[in-house]
Amino acid sequence: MANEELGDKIEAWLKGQLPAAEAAAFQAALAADPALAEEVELHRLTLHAMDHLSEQHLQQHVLAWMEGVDIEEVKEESEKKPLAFPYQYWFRVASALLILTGAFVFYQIWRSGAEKQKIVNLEAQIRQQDSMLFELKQQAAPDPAKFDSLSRENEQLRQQLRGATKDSGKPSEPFAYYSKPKNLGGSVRMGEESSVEQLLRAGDLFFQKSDLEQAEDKARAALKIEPDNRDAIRLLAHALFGQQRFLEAEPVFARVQNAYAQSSNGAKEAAWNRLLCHRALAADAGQRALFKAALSAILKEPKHPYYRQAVRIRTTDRL
Amino acid sequence: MEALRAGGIVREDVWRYLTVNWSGYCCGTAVKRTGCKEHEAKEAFSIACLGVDKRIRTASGDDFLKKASLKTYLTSATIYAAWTVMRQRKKEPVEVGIKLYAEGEEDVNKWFRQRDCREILEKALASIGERCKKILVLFKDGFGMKEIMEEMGFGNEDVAKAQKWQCQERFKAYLRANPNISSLLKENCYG
Repeated sequence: MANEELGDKIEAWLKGQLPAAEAAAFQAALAADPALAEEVELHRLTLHAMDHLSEQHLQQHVLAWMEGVDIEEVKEESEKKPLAFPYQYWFRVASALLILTGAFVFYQIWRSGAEKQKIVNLEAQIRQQDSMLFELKQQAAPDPAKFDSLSRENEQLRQQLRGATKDSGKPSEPFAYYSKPKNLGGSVRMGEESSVEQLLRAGDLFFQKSDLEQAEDKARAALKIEPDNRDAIRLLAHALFGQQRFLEAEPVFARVQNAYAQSSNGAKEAAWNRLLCHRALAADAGQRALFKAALSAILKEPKHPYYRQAVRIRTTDRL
Repeated sequence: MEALRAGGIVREDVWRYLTVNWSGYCCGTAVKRTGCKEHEAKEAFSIACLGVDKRIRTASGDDFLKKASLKTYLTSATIYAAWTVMRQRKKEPVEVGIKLYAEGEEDVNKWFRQRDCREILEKALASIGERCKKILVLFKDGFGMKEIMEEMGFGNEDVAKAQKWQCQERFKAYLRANPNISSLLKENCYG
């Protein structure tokens, strides 16, 4: 029995299963006792022999179990190379996606940069022409041929700008802080609609659909019938503003402003839109001065409905 | 993996299942890849199984399976074992042409390197008799005491343990009586 216990202890030591203190004591005994060392060596070989028996036993079983198994005819599809790194496939897919995404993002950045540049150039040209038109208007006897030619060129540039901003999906800078009115069709009256009301309703529909030229036509038609119709003036002002014809829009907004009571919201909205027109034409020193004056007037009134927008404009324009 | 590590009858059942269901594919791939005969592929599969079994039962466990599924790994090891079997038999195997797992190659190489040692052990173990071999296998493979008692017809646990000890002692006695074999094993195989 004592020998069996010794055998168990040797086995536990060989398997590293003895507690540290016991293992150290056993190690010391081993160093001091050659007979014990010999016994340990023999036991170690015995364990290897048992390993061998176990392997042999499993191998015999595996060979026996394979007796009834048919060797599969492996087709090409299943001969795929086993991947040295199992995540390699997904890694490749992810890399390809990453490269494609990168290329797409790069293309978008490049495209939007080119479009932005085009818009900036068009806006600069329009501003320059607006200034020239403004100066022509200021002259006592402007040359009508020159005025027409400039107006035509200006209109062409504006059309190009509209196309460019439509493609980019972004509003151009002059429209920052401009809120499109929801209703320009005038007040609804009971009974039969007058022709002016019909025109204004149609004009409003065109305006809401961003068909600004048609909206302008309807507003002008209404104004021919009723030259002082406030709603028609307002529709015309917004239609012109929407077409970026700021030089023409500004005096119309002034008319709107005058048509409303001084402290009414309608007058304040018109004043704000005049400010935006001045801002869009700020390439001209006179317009810039008007813009700054209008802005500082609003900034002095914290209760003004456009006070917060004015603060933002002051920040973005670094005034 | 746990079942393979647990040992005993559970481990045997898992190996039976793997052999019956996967050996056809593993051997088929080895035949296709190396041009070996079917019986050589079967031998190769058994060698691959031994490598996997040993690896799973070591401390590092199934780390190697982070690289591939068990089936892929077994197939890879079977191909390499078949290729080595053919080389050993002086046949010219077809170039495998695919990347095999280093662990599988290592296990197979080790198995072939220890072939002489196994022959020596085999000779030494003949001295303890078949019954003793069976007792030692059952203990080594982690069979429960109840299963060992039933299998060997022992009356109780103490008898089973005493028999195991006696079998081990019989083997040691052979080694003591044959110091040349003992030193051969120590120096060349398990030093």
